[in-house]
Amino acid sequence: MSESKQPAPDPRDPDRRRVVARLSAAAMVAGAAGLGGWVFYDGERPVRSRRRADRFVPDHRVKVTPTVPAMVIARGSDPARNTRAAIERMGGMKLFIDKGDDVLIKPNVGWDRMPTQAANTNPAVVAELVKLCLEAGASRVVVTDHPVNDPDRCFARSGILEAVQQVGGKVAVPGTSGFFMVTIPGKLGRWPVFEPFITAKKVINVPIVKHHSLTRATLGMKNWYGILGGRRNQLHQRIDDSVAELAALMRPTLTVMDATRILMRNGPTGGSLADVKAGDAVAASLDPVAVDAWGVTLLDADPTRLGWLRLGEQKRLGVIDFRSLNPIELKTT
Amino acid sequence: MSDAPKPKPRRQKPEAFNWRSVRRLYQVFFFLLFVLLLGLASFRYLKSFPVSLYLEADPLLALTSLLASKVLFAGMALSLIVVGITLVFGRVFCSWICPLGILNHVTSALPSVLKRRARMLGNEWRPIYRTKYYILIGILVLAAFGVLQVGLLDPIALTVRTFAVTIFPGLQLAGVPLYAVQPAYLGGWLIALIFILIIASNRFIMRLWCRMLCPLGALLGLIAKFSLFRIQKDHSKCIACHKCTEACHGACDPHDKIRVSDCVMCLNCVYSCSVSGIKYGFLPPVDNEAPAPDLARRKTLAAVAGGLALVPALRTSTGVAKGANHDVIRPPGALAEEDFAAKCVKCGACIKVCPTGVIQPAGLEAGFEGLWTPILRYDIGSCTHTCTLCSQVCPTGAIRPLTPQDRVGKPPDQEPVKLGTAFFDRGRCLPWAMATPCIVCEEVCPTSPKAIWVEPAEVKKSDGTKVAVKLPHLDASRCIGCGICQNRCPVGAKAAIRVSSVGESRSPDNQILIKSY
Repeated sequence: MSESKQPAPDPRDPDRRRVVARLSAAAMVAGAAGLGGWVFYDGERPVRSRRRADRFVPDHRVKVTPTVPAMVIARGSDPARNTRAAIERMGGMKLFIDKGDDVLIKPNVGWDRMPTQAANTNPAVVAELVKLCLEAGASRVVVTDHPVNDPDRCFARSGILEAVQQVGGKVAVPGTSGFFMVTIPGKLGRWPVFEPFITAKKVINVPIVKHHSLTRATLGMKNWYGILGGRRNQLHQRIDDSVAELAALMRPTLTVMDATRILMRNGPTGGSLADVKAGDAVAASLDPVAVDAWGVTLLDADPTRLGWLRLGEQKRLGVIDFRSLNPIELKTT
Repeated sequence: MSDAPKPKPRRQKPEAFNWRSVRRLYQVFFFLLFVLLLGLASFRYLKSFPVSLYLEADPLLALTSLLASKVLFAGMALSLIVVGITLVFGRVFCSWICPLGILNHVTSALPSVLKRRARMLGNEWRPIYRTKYYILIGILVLAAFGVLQVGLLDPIALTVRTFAVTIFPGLQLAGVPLYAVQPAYLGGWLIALIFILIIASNRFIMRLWCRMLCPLGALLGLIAKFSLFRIQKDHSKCIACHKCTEACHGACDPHDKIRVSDCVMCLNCVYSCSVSGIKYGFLPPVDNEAPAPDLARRKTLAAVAGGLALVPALRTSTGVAKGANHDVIRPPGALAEEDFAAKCVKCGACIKVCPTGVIQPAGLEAGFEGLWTPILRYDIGSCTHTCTLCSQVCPTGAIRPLTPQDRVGKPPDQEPVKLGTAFFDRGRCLPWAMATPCIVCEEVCPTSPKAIWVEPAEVKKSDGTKVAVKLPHLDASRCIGCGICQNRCPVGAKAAIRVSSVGESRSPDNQILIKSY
C-alpha cells in the first residue's frame, strides 16, 4: 500500500485529453447549428409551402354503341322499380359498369330533410342503383355528397344512410379532411374536391328535381357543387359559369334524375310538404344537359332561357333540346 | 458467502378477495362508462343511451337547481340513488364512481416524489380541508336566491365540461375520429388549465381537490355521517405504524379517530393495516370517530355572508338582471334568461352534443353569472333547423325538451322556436354594395316560406354598366334566428347578415314585432 499520492489536478490546468474533448464537443455543436442553418436556409420564401400537388378528375364516361338510347324516362309510383326499368331499357347496368369497378354514386344529400320534403334524392332510387351496380359486378359502391347542413344528420335523416347500407353499399360522410386541390378549367381556378370523386372508376350522378331561386332549377349539373369543399358559396357570384365548368370537369358515366317528388318552390331547402308535387318518374341519360333540360320542364320553366344550360350546350356537354334525342318513355305500373 | 438471497420480509399474502381490487374494478368500470356515455352524446347514438346519467345522478346539481328553480327536474330524481348509496356505504361515490375522483385517485397513487414520512404527514387532516364545506354553504346560499354557480365547482359538471370542450376535441386533433368536423371552443384553454391544475396538485398533496375544494364531496360527507357501513378501527390492536395514513386518500386520520365525513372510502387503510385492525363493516360503534365536520361557527357564518353578498354583486352587474345582451343567443328551448340562470349548471353537455359546434361556452357575454353557459356563435356554426339534441341532453331542463315539431312549429296555431332575428348589413352585402350577384343567405334559409326573399334588380358597377342582381330582404316574422345565413355568408368573418337575440321566443320582452298569437 505504497501508492504515491498525486495531488489532485487543478481544474484550471487543462490536460490534453480534456482540451481535445471539449474542443470537439464545441465543434460538434457548431457543426450541427451550421448544418441546420444550411439545410433550412431559404432567401426567398418566408414559409415552406404546405401546398400538395394538384390532383386530376378523370373522365368517367364509357363508350357505348349508338344503339343505346340516350335517355329513358320511366313513370310509375314505385321509385325503385322506375330506376331499375330505366337502366334496363338503357341496356342494363353491365353496359356501364365493369366487373371490379369502384363505383361512386352522387345523390343530392345537401340538407337535413326527410324524403317526403323532396330536398334530397329519394333513398329508394339511390339504393336501387347501388343494387344494380353490385349486381353488375362492381367491387365497391360508395355513396357520398358534401352537404350544406351537418353531414351526419343529412345522411341519416334523408334515409340514404340506412337504405344504402341495407343493400351493401358504403356511405362516405365527408368531414374536414380528404379534400384535394383540383384545377377546374375555365374561370373558377383551384378548388378542393372530395377524394372519392377523384379516385372512383365510374361515377353516377343522381340529382333530384328542385326549384332554386338563382338558377331557377337545381338538377344534375348543379349537383356537382357537392364535390367541393372550401368556400364554395362564393361560386354563386358567377353561377352560370360555375355550374357549366363543374359539369365540364365531372363527366359522369350516367345521370339518373329522380323526379319521384318535385320541389316546386322554396328551394333548394324546401321544408313544407306544400312545396312538393308528385312527379312519379325517374330518368336515366347519357346526356347531362338533356336530362337537366327535361328536369327544368318539370318545374314549368323554359330550359332555353337558362344561362347555365346554354353554357353547357356551348361546351358540348350535351343538347338542351332533349326531345331531339327521342327519349323513350316507359310505364312501370 | 453472503451472496445467497436473503428472504425479504414479505408482507402478508393478500387474500383472494380484497377491497382494493374490488375498488379498482369499479373505478375502471365507472370511468370508462363516463367517457363512453359522454362520447356517445352525439346525433348517431343519442336515442339509445342515457348520456346524461352522471349529471342526473349528482345530488349537488339536483339540490342546487332545486333550490334555485324550486323543481327537481325529471332525471335529476336519479340523484336520490346516490344519496341512498351514500347513506348505506358512505362516500363511495367519491372514489368509486366520480370520474374526477377516480382521476385524482389514479394520479395520486402514482409513485410519489415525496419521502415516505412527508407523504404520511401530508395525509393527516388539516383544518383547511374544511374549506369544501364553506364552499358548499356559499353555493347553496347563492342557489337559494336563484343564482346557480354550482357548475363552476361541481366535479361532474366540471369534468363533463372539460371533456366536452377540451379533451374530446383534443383527441380528435390527435386522430381519434369523434366528430365529423374538428370542433374548437371559446376559452377552452382556461377550462383545460383549471383541470390540469386540479390533476397536477395531486403530485404534491394527494387528492387536494377532493379533500379541500369539492362541494359535492362536502355534501356527501354530510350525508355519510349517517351511513350504515363504515370504517371500523380496533384501537386496541393499533401499533401506531401509520401505514394506513400513508395510504389514506381522504386525509380522514385513520391512525387516529376517523373523520367519517372526510373519508372517501378508498379502503386503503383496510388493505394496508399491518395488524388487520381496520375493517369495513355494518353499523360499527361510532364512539371512536371524530365528530365531523366540526365547522367553525364564525367561518360558517362568513360563508353564509359571502354567499349573500355575492347575490347583489352578481345581480347588479349586467347579465341576467339587465335584460338581454343582443349577442347572447341561447340554444333552442332555453328558458327565459332569469329561469335559465336558475337552471343551467354549465356542464357543457349541450356543447358536446351539438353537431355544428355552434354552441360555445360563454365568456363574460352573459355576465359573470353566465360564465361557461351555452351561447350560440354563428361565426363558428349554425343551429340546425329541426335538431333538438341539446334539449335532449340538458340534465336540469335549462333547455326544455323539444321535439322537431316544436322547433318548426305548426302555423297558425304553434309558433316555431325563434332564437333571434337576422339583420342585413347592406354596406357589406355583395348585391347591395358591390354589384355582385349572390343569394347564399336566401338559398340556405331553412324556413318555408323562406324568411329571406330576393327582389330582382339592376344595379350599377363602377364603370357604369348595369348588372342584374337579386337584392335580399328579410321577413322578420318568418326568421327563426338559426344563423345559417350569417354562417354561410361569403363576406366571411363579419358577415353581411347577422343575428341578434331580439325576437327570441324565450323572452316576452326582447321583441320587435307585435305578436299575432
